[in-house]
Amino acid sequence: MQSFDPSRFGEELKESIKKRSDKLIEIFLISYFLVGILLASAYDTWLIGASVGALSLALYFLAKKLFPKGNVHQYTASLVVGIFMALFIYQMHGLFEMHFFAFVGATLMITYQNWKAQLPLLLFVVVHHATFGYMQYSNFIENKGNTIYFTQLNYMDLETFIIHAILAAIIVFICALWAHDNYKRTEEIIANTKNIMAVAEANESVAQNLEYAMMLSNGMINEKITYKEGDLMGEALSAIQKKLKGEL
Amino acid sequence: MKGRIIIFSLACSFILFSIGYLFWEQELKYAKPTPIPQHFHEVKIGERVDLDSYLNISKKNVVLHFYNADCPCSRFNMKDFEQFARTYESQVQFFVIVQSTDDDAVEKFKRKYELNLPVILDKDGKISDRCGIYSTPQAVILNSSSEIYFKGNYNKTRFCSRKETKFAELALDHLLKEEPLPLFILSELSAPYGCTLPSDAASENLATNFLNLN
Repeated sequence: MQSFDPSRFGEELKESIKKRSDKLIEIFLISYFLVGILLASAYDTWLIGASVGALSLALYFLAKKLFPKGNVHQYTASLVVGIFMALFIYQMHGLFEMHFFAFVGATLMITYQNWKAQLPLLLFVVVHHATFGYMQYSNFIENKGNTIYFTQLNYMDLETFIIHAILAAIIVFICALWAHDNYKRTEEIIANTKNIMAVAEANESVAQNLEYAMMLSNGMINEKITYKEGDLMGEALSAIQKKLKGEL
Repeated sequence: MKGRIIIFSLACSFILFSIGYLFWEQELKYAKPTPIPQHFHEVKIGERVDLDSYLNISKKNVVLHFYNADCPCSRFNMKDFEQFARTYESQVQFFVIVQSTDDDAVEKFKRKYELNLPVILDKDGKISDRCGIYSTPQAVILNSSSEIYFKGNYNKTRFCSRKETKFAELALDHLLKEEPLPLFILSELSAPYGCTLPSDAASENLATNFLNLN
């Protein structure tokens, strides 16, 4: 059985949360890759579905391999879910529902309990939507042949774009808030557990000292009395024992 | 640590660049018009086309829809074609011309799209050659004298939703009003986009192989 080290409790709890989050994210990222392969059957986007999916997974696992202790892989995962969203939109020729993968990605990032993990995804979505939305709009206004599969409408007008942006910002804000809230709860759990462990230790100390006091009252003055640093009662009982033995 | 940061930065840049390049390369492939086959014989608007041996034409005006199940552009266009066909099927006669090496292509099309239209398997590309079609999706509209009134893309490049440039639909509207094909359609109509027809791709390969051998 693994020995429990109370002083490492906080660190170990955070590690186990990270590990669990990593496993969850990896399952989802691999699922995203498989979704890309599935969507490829719609318009024969096999090459781009497989290659962009594989490159994105490689990026995440490389980050994890090179920086196992830090948070780099979390930010990389955030960017990768954004790339997958862009891939699905492209593969389905601007099908509106594929844009919702941005919200799926933001929700996934909550698991890391790190509000900053939302930022790479947010930045990518803003840049991607602004760039391709404008390109499609510009093509339409200039009467050029439209080659951008961003939305299946002629273009996304400014009013729609602004509403989109506001709602997306709200969702990302809520996800960031929940991530941070979960982080604070974890910190509270660690603090409370440390308090509980300290109380348990104190109780243990009281019980032990009571036993020593009983011993002394029954004339058993030769039993060794041990106490931890800071245990004043234990220290006092040891002094009493020494007095009784005539050592002091 | 510094080494890892450098490695990751380089790898990240390479991967993101590769992803960007892949998207760009795919876009470029479909942004260009379909290459004209080597032995292509042009059939112009206004020319008479004899398809009596292939099609049972009963109505005055005819719309031929050229479709290839292996072409993503053709599949993407189907939603618009379905709407187009349902709007006009009582006024004109529609034919779906499927080019495929698969003998079950006609049945598969009928099962998938549930359009109550005649579907013809143009295995060797005889119908497409007579109409001067070498890519999909394409529309050919014949008037009552079996002359080509319109032929070409359904819309501007490969994007179907733009109302102002729904060429096939606009052309048919004018034909039904017995008006000549508007000049703006002729001027806006670009070279065919989409995928090369299998029959033309096959003759391309034969020609290329022949040239290579010689």
